[in-house]
Amino acid sequence: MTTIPGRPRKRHRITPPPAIPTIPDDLLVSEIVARLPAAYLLRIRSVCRSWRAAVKDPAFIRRHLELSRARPPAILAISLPAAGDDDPEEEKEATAATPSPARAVVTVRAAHCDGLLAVTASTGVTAHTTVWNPAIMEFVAVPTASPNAGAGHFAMVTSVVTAIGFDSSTNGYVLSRFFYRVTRVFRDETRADTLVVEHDGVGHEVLRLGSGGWRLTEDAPFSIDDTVPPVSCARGGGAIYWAAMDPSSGDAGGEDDDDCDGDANVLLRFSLRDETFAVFPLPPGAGCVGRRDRVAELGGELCLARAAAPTAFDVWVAASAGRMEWSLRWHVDFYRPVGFVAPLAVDAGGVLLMSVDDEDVYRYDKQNRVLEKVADVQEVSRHVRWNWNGSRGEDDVVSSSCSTDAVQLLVPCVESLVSICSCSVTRARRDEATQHVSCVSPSVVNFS
Amino acid sequence: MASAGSGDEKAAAAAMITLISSDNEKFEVTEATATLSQTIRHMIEDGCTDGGVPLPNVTSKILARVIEYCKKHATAAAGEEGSSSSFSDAAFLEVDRAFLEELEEFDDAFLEVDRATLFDLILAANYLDIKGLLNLTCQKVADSVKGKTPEQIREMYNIVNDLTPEEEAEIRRETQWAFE
Repeated sequence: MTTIPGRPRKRHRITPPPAIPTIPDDLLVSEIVARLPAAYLLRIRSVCRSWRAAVKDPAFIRRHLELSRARPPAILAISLPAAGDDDPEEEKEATAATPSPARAVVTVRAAHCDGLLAVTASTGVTAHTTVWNPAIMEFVAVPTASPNAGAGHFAMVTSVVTAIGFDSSTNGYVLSRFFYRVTRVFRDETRADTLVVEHDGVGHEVLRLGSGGWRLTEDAPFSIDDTVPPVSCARGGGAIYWAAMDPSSGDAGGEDDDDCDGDANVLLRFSLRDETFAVFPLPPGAGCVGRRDRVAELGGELCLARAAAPTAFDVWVAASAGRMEWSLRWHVDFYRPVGFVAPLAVDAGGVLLMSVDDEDVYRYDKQNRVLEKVADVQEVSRHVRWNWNGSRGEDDVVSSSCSTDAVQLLVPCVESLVSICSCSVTRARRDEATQHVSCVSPSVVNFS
Repeated sequence: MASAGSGDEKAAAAAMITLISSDNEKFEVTEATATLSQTIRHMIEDGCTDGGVPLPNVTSKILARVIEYCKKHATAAAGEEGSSSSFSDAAFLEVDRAFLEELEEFDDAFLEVDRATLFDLILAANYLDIKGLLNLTCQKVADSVKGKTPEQIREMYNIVNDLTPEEEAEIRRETQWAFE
């Protein structure tokens, strides 16, 4: 408004506006843009070339992930359609790997790492795995058939769950699954409808996202109990832990036998860098991984929540002070019968977040001795189905029956920008991706 | 190499460091406060803080605020040391939650500044390498970006759109689902 008399107006316009405070480009991208939610970030990468380039830069993606992990914990609640939900017509396609006719999906299981999920729908013989990044709604189907079954065997039976981990030596994600080299399947004469499967070895194979298909590694030394969900841990370059049955230490647990209703008595640590197995002992006094026990990952460390009583659980953490050693970190008593406890996250104040019976989320503040329910999974899950290419389907696609039968999945919410599609696992067949797993939109539960 | 004996720690806590702003103002702070800055910590380790630490990139106005932040957080740092996201440190579990809440309130109040000051704080935190302060201030800016359209962001940060219309269209096609 205050034009100086005598000066032409035009001149006044030329004077620069008061300097807009700015932040240098590199700082803006690495410190501020990297804190934006993944989906939003993809949308606004059209701001300029350098932002578009950043979103694809592995170093930026890593930084974004680290920042996402450092935020106060949130839990992703996902409900997957229950097994057997699929249209039977879609099941007709025979799977080449097995001579037996294709069967209906009987289980849907998932494993996770850094916000990526590997969801496996198993027929009991073959397993169809889809890798999913819920933050940016990408999914990719993984080849079902394995080139590693080997000749001379009747069939191979693949694990019902495929594990996913991160190999820091290659900066890549790795899928891990095992299979039995089946020599004979026969009907148990004494018990009707019971099939006995004989095998002569447990093969193990990995698939590195972005580099081809399943590749055979050394065999697993023991049979693996895939009813115990496998867990990936970043510690020591990245590893996947499977629960396994060591026949030699079968009776070693002696006094603990009464508590042991599980088959697994050791953990197998599969190193993603070396692709080798090593036995990882259970915490002191633990004879087995029972049905009420859960293996988990907490802040990069391996964790085991053991049922100590019908109402109480011991949460062990394998921290590395020189070498990995178990220490008892929490003892949680619910004062009511509880099936199992799955540790999810720990916050800055040392408060443990856990899923209880896949139904509720609880927080336990050890210092102030406060145990409280913070969320009800049924209430927080939204049932929305997503199409294979990430486009959104109708909100009402999932029937109401699904809400009771759906597989509830609770995972720590970590936002990943990793594009699994650009990793181009293999040209996933479109029908394969849609057929077995229809991914359902997650909801995020915050606890701040 | 520095020993961690309790006697030495007491001596370190009492030691004072002089920080000198770009406009030549001197600030006396304890070593515990100053070492929240990794940059200053390294200077102390190298023994080059005699006669004061000149900070030619930080004005007295901003340095005063930075020191205010460091004083408050230095008391918390003892418990948090070396365990930013891991919880292997047993002492970490003993962090007083009431104090954490107090810190949170302090941080919220601390962020009540204009944009220019906020940006200056970011530059200072980056230069002095104070992780907590950098996190705090950058998160505040990121939160203010959230929800803005690309056009609004360009305007906020003086960014020139150097993408061709074709490239923009391609991005839009690739992220169709996010545009709903």
